[in-house]
Amino acid sequence: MPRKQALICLVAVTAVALAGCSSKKAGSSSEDGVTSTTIHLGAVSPQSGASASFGDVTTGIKAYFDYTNAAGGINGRKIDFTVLDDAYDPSKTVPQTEKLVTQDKVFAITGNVGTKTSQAVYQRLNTEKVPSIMASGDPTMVSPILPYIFEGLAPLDADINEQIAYVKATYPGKKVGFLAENNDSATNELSLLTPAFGSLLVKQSTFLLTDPDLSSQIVALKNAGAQVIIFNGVPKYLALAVSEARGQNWQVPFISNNASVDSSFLSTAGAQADGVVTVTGFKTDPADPEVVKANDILKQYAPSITPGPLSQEGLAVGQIVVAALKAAGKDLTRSSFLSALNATNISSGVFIGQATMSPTKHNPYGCEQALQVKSGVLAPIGDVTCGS
Amino acid sequence: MRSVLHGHPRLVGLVISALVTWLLNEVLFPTPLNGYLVVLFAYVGGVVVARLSRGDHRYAALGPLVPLVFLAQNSIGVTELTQILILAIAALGLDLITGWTGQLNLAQGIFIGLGAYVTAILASKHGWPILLTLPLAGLVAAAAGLLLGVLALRFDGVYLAVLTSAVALAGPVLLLHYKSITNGVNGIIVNQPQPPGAFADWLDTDQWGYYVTVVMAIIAVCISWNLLSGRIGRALRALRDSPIAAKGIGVDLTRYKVLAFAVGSFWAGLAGGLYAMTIGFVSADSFGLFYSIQFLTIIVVGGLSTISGAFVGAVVIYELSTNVQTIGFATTVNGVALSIPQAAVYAILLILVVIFAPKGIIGIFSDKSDWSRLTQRLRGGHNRSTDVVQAQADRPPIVRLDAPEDPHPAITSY
Repeated sequence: MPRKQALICLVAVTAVALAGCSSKKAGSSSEDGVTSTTIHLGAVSPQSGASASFGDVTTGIKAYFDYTNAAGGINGRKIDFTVLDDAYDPSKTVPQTEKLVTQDKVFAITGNVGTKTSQAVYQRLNTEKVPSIMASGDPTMVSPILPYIFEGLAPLDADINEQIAYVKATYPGKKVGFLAENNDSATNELSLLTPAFGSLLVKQSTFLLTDPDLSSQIVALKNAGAQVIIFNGVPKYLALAVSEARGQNWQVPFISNNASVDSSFLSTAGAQADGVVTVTGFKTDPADPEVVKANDILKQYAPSITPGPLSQEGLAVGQIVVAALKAAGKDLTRSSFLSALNATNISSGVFIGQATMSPTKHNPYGCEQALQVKSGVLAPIGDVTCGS
Repeated sequence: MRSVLHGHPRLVGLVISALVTWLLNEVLFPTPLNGYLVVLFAYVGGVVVARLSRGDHRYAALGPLVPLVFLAQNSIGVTELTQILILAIAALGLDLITGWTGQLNLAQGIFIGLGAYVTAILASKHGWPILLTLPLAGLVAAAAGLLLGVLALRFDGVYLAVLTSAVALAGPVLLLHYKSITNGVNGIIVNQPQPPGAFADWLDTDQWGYYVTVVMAIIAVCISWNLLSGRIGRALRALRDSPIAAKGIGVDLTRYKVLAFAVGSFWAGLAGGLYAMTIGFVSADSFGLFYSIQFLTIIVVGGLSTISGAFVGAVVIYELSTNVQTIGFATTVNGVALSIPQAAVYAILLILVVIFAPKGIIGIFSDKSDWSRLTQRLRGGHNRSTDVVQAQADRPPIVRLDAPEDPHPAITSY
């Protein structure tokens, strides 16, 4: 008896499977997702699982869309934004993205979050001619340029290039030491530092998050004759490194990655933090009017999260999408939206400098700014540098 | 009316709860009512009516699925079905190792990864036709599974779980380490194959991938069925239920344990090859320990030691993990909206399945279901303490090697 029932069950599953397939290929047309009152947009991001915090990006995007809708929408239309969960698993990203394109018939994909998950779908989205903005920070999806694919986050390498440019300009000919947590990000950074500095890169020293202090690493860097230290890690270890060096009366300049110079670092390191330099592509001063505005929007329209870098960058993606939708005009089609995206030129937001895109540049960012700690506060140092 | 219902006692609850679901969804509350509440109301309605008409209320739980089957055409996409079938093929492989042979294996995910990498490397770096790489992906994984099987001979129960989880943890690290072959953290992009000449007119790439997967799934089911319904299947179950007795009646333990690991890993490798073909992107960190545990969940929820359980479990787990949504309540506590986050909803649903259907969803269909015993217990019809012992004895042994006898021998169910 159980065998018979199990068989029936299997047949039922097969029947469902075939039912799903009997529908003809539903290609996307350029009118998909737009009605006289709504624009249907979608994105797939991790909402569950170990990487669920990446979902803050789409939460930020949604907050900006809600803010736009509350302010009257776009040329008489409101944005309807569907976010589906892929738990940061590419084998779920593909079906979920397909669901948005073929069943929900979204007009565009605005903010698929994650590198490996976006890698799995960007080529098929281009083939399906769906305008898509990825939120991954991975530059490979926009080089070479595909006509329908754009990138919405700052490229991961931009900060490192700014660190290199700052050290070369400020400390020409000085010997460089690299102090980093032992992980993929450090390996990636080293692959950019090595060709940039050549023999001037005299020592690379790594630590683990379980190390009680960094005295041996600092001594090793000092003995190798390093005159500048480039740091890649977390706030606590930057504070340890700075206090260890200053304790040895070694006034070496520190050039840190962005994430390490936060309020916890500033309060832990205290006066010793002064002089530490970091780089950023986004505004960090909480008193900056653009940051205040962004945080206000997030607090009102995304009360479930605490405003942070990911949600602020998401907000910037929303800003770019809304600007392009407005510029595409009342007669919105995918081709007019693409032209508008390719002509993106937004002068102010939480990003530094301008957000610009063109048919040969599908990533809106490129401007970076060095910041230095002065009396416990981060202050811009030097000019904003833009360009590749 | 009552006599009409009596004619088909089993269907009463099912039909009523399906009707209630449909009514609540389509007519009374088109959008505002939470989906889970609909299912709950439908189930309660189905049970009440079935009880009143002295029908079998167990099937009421299936009622809410009926409208879904009719909606499936619009709500389930080809790529989604493809991924579900791929999960099911790999779960079938794990069921062979864990369900039938009783060897707890937490490394199924990494064998899928191995197969995926074989297909990705051969197809994108060496230009092989992707269909040719599929059997090879299975064979490479089978070879690795054979090695694991030989190792597994020395371990049992929790020790085997530790061994296989170590393999699951080490696998992605190894794949990342050999950057020159695997492309490291960047992963490998696989160009999805176009349907060959004759099919190109009426199938797109995704549909071609789907039909290839369907054919592979049918092959996997047929071979597994043949394997398990004959001498080998009996030997595997004997090995699971009592290795000592099995040895006593002349079952070669070494041979069958290794065989189970090799065949189970072959299906994982094949599923991996299909994964690479249909997803088009392979990266090592997709195949970690949590990915492996997902397959254990699939076979337990679907029904251990059943072929159909692997497929039903794959559908349920995939749909739950992608479609479960936060249950929000229209109240706030100290300004924070009260809600059950989706991960917790997923966990609660899994716990409910394990409590109410310890033999999986397929188990609900079996005549002496744990479901009826549990509801009997709730009505006070049974002595509680003997029920617990009975319920424990009914669970298919995974790590228990000294089970005196299986009251529901798996021989009867596929």
